[in-house]
Amino acid sequence: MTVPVLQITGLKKSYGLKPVLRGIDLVLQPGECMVLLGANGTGKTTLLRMLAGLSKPSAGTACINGLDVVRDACQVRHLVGFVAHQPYLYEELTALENLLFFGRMYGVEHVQERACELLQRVGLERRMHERVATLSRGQVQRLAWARALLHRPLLLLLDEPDSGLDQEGQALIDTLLTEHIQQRGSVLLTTHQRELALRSGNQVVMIANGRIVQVDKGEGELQGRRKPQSDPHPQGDREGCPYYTTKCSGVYGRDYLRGRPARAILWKDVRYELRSKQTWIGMGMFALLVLVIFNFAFDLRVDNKAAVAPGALWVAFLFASLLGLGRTLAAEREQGPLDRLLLCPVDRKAIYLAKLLGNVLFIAVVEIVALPIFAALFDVPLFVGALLPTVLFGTLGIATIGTLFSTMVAATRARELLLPVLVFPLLVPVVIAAVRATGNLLVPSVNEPPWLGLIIAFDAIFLSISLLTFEYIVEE
Amino acid sequence: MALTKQATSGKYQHSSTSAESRFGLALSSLILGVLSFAGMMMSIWMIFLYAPTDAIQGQPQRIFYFHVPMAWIGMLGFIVLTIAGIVYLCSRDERWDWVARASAEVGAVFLTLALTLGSIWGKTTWGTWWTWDPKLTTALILWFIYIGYNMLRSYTGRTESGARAAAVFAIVGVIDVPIIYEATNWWRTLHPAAQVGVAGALPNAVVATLLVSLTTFTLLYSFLMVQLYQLQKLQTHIQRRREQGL
Repeated sequence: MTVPVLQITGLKKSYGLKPVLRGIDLVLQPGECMVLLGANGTGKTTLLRMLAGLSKPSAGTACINGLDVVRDACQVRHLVGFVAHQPYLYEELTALENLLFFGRMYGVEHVQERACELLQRVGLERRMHERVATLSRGQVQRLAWARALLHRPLLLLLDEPDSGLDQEGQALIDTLLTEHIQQRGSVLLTTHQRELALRSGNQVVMIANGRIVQVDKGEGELQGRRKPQSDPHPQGDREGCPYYTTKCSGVYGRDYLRGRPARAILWKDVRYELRSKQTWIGMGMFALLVLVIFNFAFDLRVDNKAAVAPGALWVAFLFASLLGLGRTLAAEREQGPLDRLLLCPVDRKAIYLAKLLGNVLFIAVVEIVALPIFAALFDVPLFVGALLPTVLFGTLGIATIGTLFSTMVAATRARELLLPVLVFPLLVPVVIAAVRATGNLLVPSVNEPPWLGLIIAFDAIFLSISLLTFEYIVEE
Repeated sequence: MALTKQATSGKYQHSSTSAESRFGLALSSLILGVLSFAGMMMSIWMIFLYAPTDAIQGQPQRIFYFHVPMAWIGMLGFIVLTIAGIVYLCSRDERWDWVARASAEVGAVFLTLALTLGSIWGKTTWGTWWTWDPKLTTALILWFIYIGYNMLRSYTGRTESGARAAAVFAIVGVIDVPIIYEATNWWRTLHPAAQVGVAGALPNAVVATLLVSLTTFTLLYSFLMVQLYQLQKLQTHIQRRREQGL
């Protein structure tokens, strides 16, 4: 017996006491297209977001290819391609870079070839090296289609997929959908257009006020266009079909420690930063300004220079870091907090680790520039003892807490105010230990506690807590 | 009508069983209120009339009987809100979030009073309002964490994501509590170490007065927790009614 591609039973979703979905039951078979029809605010997008793994149901179950969307979320994300109102693309990256990034996140083999093939398929091969920000609305929508098809999903979730497309674009989408159905992929799409729904869908489901009010049979034109040749992947034999991936491979599940998704996110963040140049320059200038202000604001006589200098250095690092940490998720936030990353079949811990590594890298670059200037302004030696490990582990401590809390406040109002209020008190131990350790390097004294050891212990404790709790913060 | 948890959805609805819970809260509120009031009368009598005057510090030493219980409630409050946050993350039962919110508000007030009284006592004893002593520093950090927690709650509103973020923040912040407690043992500090339980360290009258005061303030914390818990429940209920347009 064939496992339905999609089986939804009693699915509900509420925000507070406000119910959005009040109990949805649906079954979608392989090679079928189901169209959800309904006015704005009836819960269509909410349903698709839950199936895409961006939101959790309040009650009921939804299974994709027999896998529960909550329990087996990581595997399910790999089976789904999502085209929504938002393209879920990075504007500062080129079309090709976007597809390469998402391909790596999905563990697509021969990702370069696959990305080029899809860019050609959606008619963007000539613009593959142009930034997404320079593309037209319709071209961005085509690229979003390429992103959704990149990993050959079993189920396409399409939220008004033709919005922003011209006639040629709509014809292209029609062809892509037909090809997807021909290869026994399935489609769940939402639209306001009744004619399109009845023409395209095998089933047309009318939703009103969070409930299914009517189910009609459609013409199933997409399925009807199937080529008459024998089906290479008959029902019940999906293993040989590239569209049917039943388990995660490569970068998924608990493989976050292997680092592939973390490397992909880090590659994307560095490339994004190199192109936008928003964070590094701001952080660097801020660190230099703090050092300069401290230099003339304090009485730096020869006898107290070594006592004041470490404090000035770490305050400069801390302030500059906070400026950068506030920008950590700015790029992600542009189209909803982390949604583009959360769509990918990647453990949340990998996302945290990647963002942490990115922050450490960004702060380290600023520190490399700031340290010689600090040495010159405060007239202290630069190459002393364990300065490098002290700076490295101190930075790791700042980034560990900062990454967690910048994610926490990403969706809140007045986040620029809230982030320092949350971060500074918890960083006091790191700052104290780092200042004392640095001071001890400049002017060695006896009977000093093992400050570097304390910083490392702090890093270990807070890194463990952050890895354990990050998922709770990004969950919708 | 109070709210009870709907097992499947994690949301709340009106229930006929709420009368019992409301009666239980009212009864516990009454008992705790009476005990707190009686304990407070007893504590004031013991602090000002029963406990001996310190031979060196004189009358200002009596601040000790308020300062220590308030600092204790400040730490207890954060432990309670962290435990409530952890249980909330595991169960998604909103009542635990109300407990956490209530404890954060009460704990912040008591810790503020403890720091203020400690500062006044420090001026008379050490000759300074403030010093960067490890105990004082770590207690001040906890105060900032409390303020950060309450700001986070305020900025994120009564949402599930706000409750989860606050619970995570509490889990990170609670590490400061054992450090405050152990500060006098780990570092050389101006702040005196705990003397209760050390044979001959304090006169019996001082120990008895401190224990009564500690018990009374703990009862007062419990009483205020019940009041604020009910207030949280009502505020959440009203907000949801507004969301529903009722």
